[in-house]
Amino acid sequence: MEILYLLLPLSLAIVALIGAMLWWAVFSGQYDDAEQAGLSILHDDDHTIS
Amino acid sequence: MKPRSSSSAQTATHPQTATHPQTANDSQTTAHAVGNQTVEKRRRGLVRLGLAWLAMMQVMMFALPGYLRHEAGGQDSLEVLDWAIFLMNWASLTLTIPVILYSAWPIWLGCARAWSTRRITMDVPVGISMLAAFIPSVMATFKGSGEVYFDSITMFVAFLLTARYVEQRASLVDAGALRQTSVLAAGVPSGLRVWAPANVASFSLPLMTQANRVATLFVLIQLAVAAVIGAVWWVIEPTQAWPVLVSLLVMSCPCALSLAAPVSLAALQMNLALGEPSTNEREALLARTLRITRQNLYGALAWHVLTMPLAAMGWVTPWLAALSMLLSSIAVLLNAWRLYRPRRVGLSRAVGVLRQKQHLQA
Repeated sequence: MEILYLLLPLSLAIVALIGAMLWWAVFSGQYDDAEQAGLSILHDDDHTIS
Repeated sequence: MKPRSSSSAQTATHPQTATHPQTANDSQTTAHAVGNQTVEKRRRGLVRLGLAWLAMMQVMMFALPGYLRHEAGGQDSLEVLDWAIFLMNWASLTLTIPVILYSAWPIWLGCARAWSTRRITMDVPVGISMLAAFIPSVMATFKGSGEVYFDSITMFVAFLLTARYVEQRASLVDAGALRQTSVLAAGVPSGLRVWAPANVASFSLPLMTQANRVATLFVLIQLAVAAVIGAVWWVIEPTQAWPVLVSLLVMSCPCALSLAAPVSLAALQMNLALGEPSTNEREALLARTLRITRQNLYGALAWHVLTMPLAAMGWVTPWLAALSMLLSSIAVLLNAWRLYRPRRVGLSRAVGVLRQKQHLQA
């Protein structure tokens, strides 16, 4: 069971890492507009050169 | 859809240059309209929420040995288990501290505000129950024996922030919808323009006041009841007194009650802004909103009244109380959702965009 001395700090480190990633993702604006990306295909410029 | 088609008339003259920037313009104007501050606020709310959920899931894993302890077999395994629980408690404490300090920060601010204005709000019972659960848990962790409630605390914060985030989003959508109404009103000859802001306010204010009054009264009663029942348990069975008190305090959080009015009104305004209801439809919509708000309000109240005796009997553990709080909030949200027809709105938007494309191609 001494493995817990390794596993517990490791799990805390991983949680901290995931937390930091979430922080970065949110504050870089990844979740600001979830709709626009889906609609962007409709806004696509598909004019052919005439 | 009106502003889009008018800008598409412009783009039709310069198709190559204007079509693409238009998308960017569109999102830019909304971003500007919503305002940087609101965006920042929402992002911070999301991070607080996400971190609370993350910590909650991890702390729940750490809490497992503590729940197994009641079923532990021989003396040997109990010793090993106690050692594991001791380590896990420290790990849980490490994760709970950021939840209490960062994720729950808005709650502490709310408590400070309630203190300075001498008006009891929802944050007060939440703050009290968090402290009531946290302080004995920290003491038990240092001592190495006794119950800890870190899982209940993190769950409570995560669920509460979820309910609040949805509420905050609903009111943002609300504000966005109103703005869109004024934009639409420029081109749409409907009564909406004159009607929307003034009448919705006169309709929603008494409803909100009523909801707030019910919630305040409710909080006061629940705090008193929790104190009395805790004292009774203290006399009869001191070991059980603290978990019962924590459960009662967690349940005293009127999250569902505080959600009841705002989400219904947000759904109403969304409907008014995006559809174009006739006078009759509008009246029916208002009546439905009123009915659904009352259902939410009294349904949440009934739920509390039903579950309180169970908690008072000691049958509801603190984490179960947190779960019950989340479930009642979700029920309120789903009920209000019946007013809102996102499918129709989403479709009409997509159709608008498609029309615009056809227009461009023609």
